[in-house]
Amino acid sequence: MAAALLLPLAAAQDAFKPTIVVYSGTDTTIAHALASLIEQDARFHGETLVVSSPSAVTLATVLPTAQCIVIYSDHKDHLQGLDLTLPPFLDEGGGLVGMRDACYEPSARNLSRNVFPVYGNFSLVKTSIAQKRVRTYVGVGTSEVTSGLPERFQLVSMGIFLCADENGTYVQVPGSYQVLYEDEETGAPLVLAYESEGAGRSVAMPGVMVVKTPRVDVYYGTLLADGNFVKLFTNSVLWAADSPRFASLTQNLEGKLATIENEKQALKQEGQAARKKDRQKRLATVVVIWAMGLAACALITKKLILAPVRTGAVDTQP
Amino acid sequence: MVIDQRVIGLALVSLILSALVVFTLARETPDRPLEILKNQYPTVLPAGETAFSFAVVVREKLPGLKILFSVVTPAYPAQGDLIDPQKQYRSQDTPQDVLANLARLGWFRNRTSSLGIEPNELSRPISVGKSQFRMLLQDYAASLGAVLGENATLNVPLIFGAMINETGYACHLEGEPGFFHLPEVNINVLTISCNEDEKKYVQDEKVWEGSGQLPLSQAPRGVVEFQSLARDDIITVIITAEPRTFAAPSYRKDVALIQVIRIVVDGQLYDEPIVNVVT
Repeated sequence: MAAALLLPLAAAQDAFKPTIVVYSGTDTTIAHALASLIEQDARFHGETLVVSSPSAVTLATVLPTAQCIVIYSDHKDHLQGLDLTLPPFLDEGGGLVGMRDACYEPSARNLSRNVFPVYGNFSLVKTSIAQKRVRTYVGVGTSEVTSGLPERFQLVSMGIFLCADENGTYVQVPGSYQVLYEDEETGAPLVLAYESEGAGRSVAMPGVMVVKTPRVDVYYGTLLADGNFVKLFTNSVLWAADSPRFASLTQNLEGKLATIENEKQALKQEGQAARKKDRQKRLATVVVIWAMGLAACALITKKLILAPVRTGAVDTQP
Repeated sequence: MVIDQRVIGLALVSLILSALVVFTLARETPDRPLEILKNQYPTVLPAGETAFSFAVVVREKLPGLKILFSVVTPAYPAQGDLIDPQKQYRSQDTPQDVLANLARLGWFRNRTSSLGIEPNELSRPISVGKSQFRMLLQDYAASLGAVLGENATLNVPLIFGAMINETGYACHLEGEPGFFHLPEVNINVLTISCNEDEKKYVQDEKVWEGSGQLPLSQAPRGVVEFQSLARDDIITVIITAEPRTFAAPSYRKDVALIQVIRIVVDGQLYDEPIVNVVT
């Protein structure tokens, strides 16, 4: 009996588990690896969901349990339409983590300004493997994202997207974001945290640029095995996910659904009552009119039809 | 000539009784609270401007009436969106089988139904040319919109559908609440009126000061809502569109768009949804 009572409760708790959606384009290799990093973190108590198309990311923005959406993209096609659907998600208090092309204006359009405010218009990519391809992260701000991380560290990367002038020199765009790590070489942000007016949170990482080929120095496996990246990434996801969307949507969700149903029922009852009242009014009018009509008929019968008979005024000639 | 008083009396009594019968019949409760006066749409989408007209007349006093318009168009899911991109359908397959191949709908359905959020389903046979299709639509717009708010669901297609014919030719459908597919691009004029009270929406850049026209961006999103309607009130919706985002008819194998109109009277779905198929 107790088990039977506990089961629905457990199901409801499962239903309200926060979901972290992870997307890395049609090839989900990196997405699965990133999702695995999140799942292995003891601080995380929800579930991860790997999706493989921009339309699936769009759909995830209306999932009430979606707490944070992580995007790693290396092609503009992977971001198609997301500049329309991710800003409302952030405005409604959702969390987002964006890497690589998600911060690059030619690929991400509005996303690189409204959601991941890197304003990246310049790409600094090193294709030669003569030098070690890394980006050096220099701490310039502190927050939960930087917790447990050194002031300076290096992560493998092909390059960085930044906001730059025609010479490729970094240009700072004023805004309400916070730069947590900057690139030692260019001075451009490597980790940027932003809180929207609707209390949504985003973390932009324009310098995470890796490949899926194992024998290359910038192989994603090398990056994901780096403890500093793991900490930086999971801290970012947890900070972004700590935005109010999940709590406000799932809090009393059953109550909200019940309220909607009650409103519907109330409207239905109101309609039925109005129709009943209308019918009664109509019936009363008909009864009154019939009564008046029958009274008139009775009067006419008495005065015009029966009266001549009684008074003998009726001509009875043969 | 003298007319017998009794004849006049009988005539008057007959007149009164007939008037009472006529009055009673006239005051009789109508069987249906409203009647569809007009549902006009092009069966083949022309290249130029075309109009969709819909009008209803209210037959009895109604506290609330909602007319919900939604539009679905054929969708071509990306490979990553399909569980089996190579799947070939057979004649006995159902629209449910086609929808089951859409990966994102699978996880979305699982997660929303566990939260108590269910779609409105519409299953209907439809004719496209000489072919008979079975169609299924699953509409999450109303249930999710109620939980998340309308703004959060903007630009997110929340109607999923599929149709399949007797040869196993199948097509995915996708759409959202609205008067037309991509209204900001395709609608020229949207007119919503209740009796003489008329609102005309045109594309935002075509709104002139003093014209009395309203910008399309401020138009309701496929919902026409009226309260406290009286008997014989007439509600009309006219959508004048110039399809700019559709393939030329000769390149299309199936439908161009399907317009679904649902009427909700006092919070309850009135009759079967109206399905207008445009090829």
